[in-house]
Amino acid sequence: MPSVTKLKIKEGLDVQFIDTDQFKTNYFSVSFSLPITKENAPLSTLLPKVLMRGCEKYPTMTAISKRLDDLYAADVYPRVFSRGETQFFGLAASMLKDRFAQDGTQIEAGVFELFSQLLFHPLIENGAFKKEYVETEKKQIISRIRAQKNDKRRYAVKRCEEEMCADEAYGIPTFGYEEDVAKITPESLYQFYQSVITGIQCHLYFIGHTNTEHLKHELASMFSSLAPVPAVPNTCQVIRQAGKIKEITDVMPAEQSKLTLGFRTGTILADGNWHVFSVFMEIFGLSPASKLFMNVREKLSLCYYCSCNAEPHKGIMLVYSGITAKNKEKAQSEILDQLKAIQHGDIAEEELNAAKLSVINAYRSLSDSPVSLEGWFTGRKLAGLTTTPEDCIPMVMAVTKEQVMNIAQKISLDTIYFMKAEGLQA
Amino acid sequence: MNSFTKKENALLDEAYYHYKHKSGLSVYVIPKKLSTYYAVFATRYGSVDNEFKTQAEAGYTKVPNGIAHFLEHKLFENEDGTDAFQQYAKTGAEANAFTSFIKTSYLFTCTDQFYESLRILLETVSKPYFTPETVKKEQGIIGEEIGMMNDSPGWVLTFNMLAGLYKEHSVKINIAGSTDSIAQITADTLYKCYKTFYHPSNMILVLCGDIEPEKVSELLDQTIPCTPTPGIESIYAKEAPEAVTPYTEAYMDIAKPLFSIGIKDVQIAADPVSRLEKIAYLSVILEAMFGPSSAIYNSLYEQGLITGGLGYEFEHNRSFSFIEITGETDELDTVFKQLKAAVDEIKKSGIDKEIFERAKKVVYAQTIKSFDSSEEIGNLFMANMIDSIDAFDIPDAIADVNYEKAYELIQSMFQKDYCTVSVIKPRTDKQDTNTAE
Repeated sequence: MPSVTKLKIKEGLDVQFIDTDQFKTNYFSVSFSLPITKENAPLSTLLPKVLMRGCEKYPTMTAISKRLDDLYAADVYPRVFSRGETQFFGLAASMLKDRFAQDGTQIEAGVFELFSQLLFHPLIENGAFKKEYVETEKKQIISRIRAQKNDKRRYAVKRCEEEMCADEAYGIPTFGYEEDVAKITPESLYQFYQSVITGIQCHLYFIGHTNTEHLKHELASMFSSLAPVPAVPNTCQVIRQAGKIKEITDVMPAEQSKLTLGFRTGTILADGNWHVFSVFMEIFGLSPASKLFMNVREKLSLCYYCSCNAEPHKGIMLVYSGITAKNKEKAQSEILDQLKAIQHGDIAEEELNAAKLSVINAYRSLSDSPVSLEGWFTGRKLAGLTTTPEDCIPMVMAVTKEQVMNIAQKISLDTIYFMKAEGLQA
Repeated sequence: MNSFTKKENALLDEAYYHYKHKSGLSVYVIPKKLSTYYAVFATRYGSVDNEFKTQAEAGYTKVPNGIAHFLEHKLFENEDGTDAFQQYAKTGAEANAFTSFIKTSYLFTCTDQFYESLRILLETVSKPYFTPETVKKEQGIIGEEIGMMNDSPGWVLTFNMLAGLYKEHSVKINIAGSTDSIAQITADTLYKCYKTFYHPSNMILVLCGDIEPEKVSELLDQTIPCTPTPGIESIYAKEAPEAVTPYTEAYMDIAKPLFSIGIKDVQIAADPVSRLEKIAYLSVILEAMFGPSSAIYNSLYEQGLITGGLGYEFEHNRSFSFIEITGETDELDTVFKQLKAAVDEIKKSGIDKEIFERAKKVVYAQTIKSFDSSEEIGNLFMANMIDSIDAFDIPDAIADVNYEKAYELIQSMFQKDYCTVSVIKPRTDKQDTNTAE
């Protein structure tokens, strides 16, 4: 399992370097982080997309795509994602190693050059971003926000989270609200850009194999104008115990209804015992050997999928299933019964062992994916932890039935969200 | 004596071992020093195989739509009432299965106890067990899966496109079938399909990870039975080159109209070498014509006409061949007009030579990139080997793509009559259904 080394670029700026020679590609990313707010969310979604539209040297999308093609289909892409109530945004790249370039192209150097141009030499007109680029990208984001309902399965989970955390920053959608996207101007986005490159926290990752002296040198020159900023504390609001249960029903023209239950976990990653919660989730609903799959699907034949997922910084868990509307109560009570069973200690030795193996398997698999490794360390850093996946393996092995029972007892039901399908039932 | 033959590819910097087990099963092992192991065991049997016979049988049997997928679900159950997922739980492997047009695949990934998990995979797929009760239970689960897919706009869009393209060929049938068709499935028909298509000689095993080929052959001797080959004949309807209809539309609860343009291709080479050649040509041509560096992609995006870009895909195998181009737009007519103009221009004057060479480079680079994960390598091998194509021959086939021949292919394939357009529009209160079966 590879480990992370911090390479110092300059005072206040490091690159997290994971040295591994198992890939044919190298991975590099730059992300900035901010607490999520109604104003920040659309700005941090829009900024990387506008940067990818053109810069001084490569002023059009075609010029950028052609450059990427010449660099052996190097992939440089804009991205935005949240962990708890912190939003990360920036650019990431995946590129073939130089030895695969049949014509001797210096792929890595080329990608760094392009990255540097895109980040620090954007196309500016009259002291603002190019209006045409800002407007078309705003339209793209608004379309994406509206198109979320196309995927009912995901949309039902999102709607539940929104309702559950309506009064918390977590309830703000990652892309922001449509009306706030519409309000952004080329000037306001440029102001935001200025604040980003002069004063917010920046995270760099390089995963792969390269000459580290050369890497440090490249990055020092790329980031020479970036001012170092002290780490911002994680400001996520954690509600450990649910209050009165909220019940929300939306009616949708569809064939299948979706039931999503939102829980407060009572446990978060920073507590240091998330590995116990991971074992709990495997037993409860993550794997096809879990209680939800074995009972709601296999025994009662109520659904094709019934699974769960949790956000470890915010401390919430969602259970979701696609069902026939008339089976709603039956599915809901079965899901809650399965949770109660674990809270009462109905956990077979076999189930516990299987869950541990599954968690360990997931931890070990991380090293085969640069993006997963980056995700792991980004989350740990935010929670103030330094544990590697390897460190967590003996901790998982030591988890007892009592620990799982105790952690399950802290879980409380917050919101029942039902997307009721009407009009198209088969 | 059984033994593996080794093949190397210096360009990819990879090697694989191939071996034909005495049962007839073809095995490919791609050694890779990664944490993850990947195993996929597949039969050349998918949703298109719904009319067939074995050598010994006089007449063809027609089976209900969706049966290959139904069988995939049922193979996870054991005679003692347990299921394969519970067995995998003991080894920590993550298992799954899926059914496509031309194959059914069973797979797992793991980081430990690989040979134990492989034994479970081989035994699960080799031991069918169904009863009327277990079949009935599955009808409820698959019914919900079908309901879920019918609510998925991308899925409905593609199957409406296929129905607009194909008159008879079973590729137009929804992979999971319909609630009505799966209601006709019985334990007996499942056994019949199993006995025909799950013979080892009709199957392929692909393994990727830090694996010793010799240990695999031992395990095969213990788990895979040797029986006479059934000699399968599947009937696929002959198709005229023309599409059935130029246009299909449906309404769903979506934000913005979605479109899928399908182009039917009836020129399917009988031998795998020619099929690989065609696949290489299609990959390069489509990247050059519709990829992110193409003129039309950039023009539509910059005008704000499409959301998220253009998508393109193709299927080319022993049974059927088509191209699909997809997108999301508020201005269907404008987008169609501009796409048509772009294609006409290329048909008239050819692809820009620089764009063509760049597309070759991109397709080559993407192939090499897919050798970074055991799962991707395994899937790439399976997708090709199931159609008798050697995945290691792909880079050379791409390098051999020739400009003049590509131009001829574009001119012959992109014909108005071979095309269909499927559109899904946002539903208003007046419309209440879609035309998908």
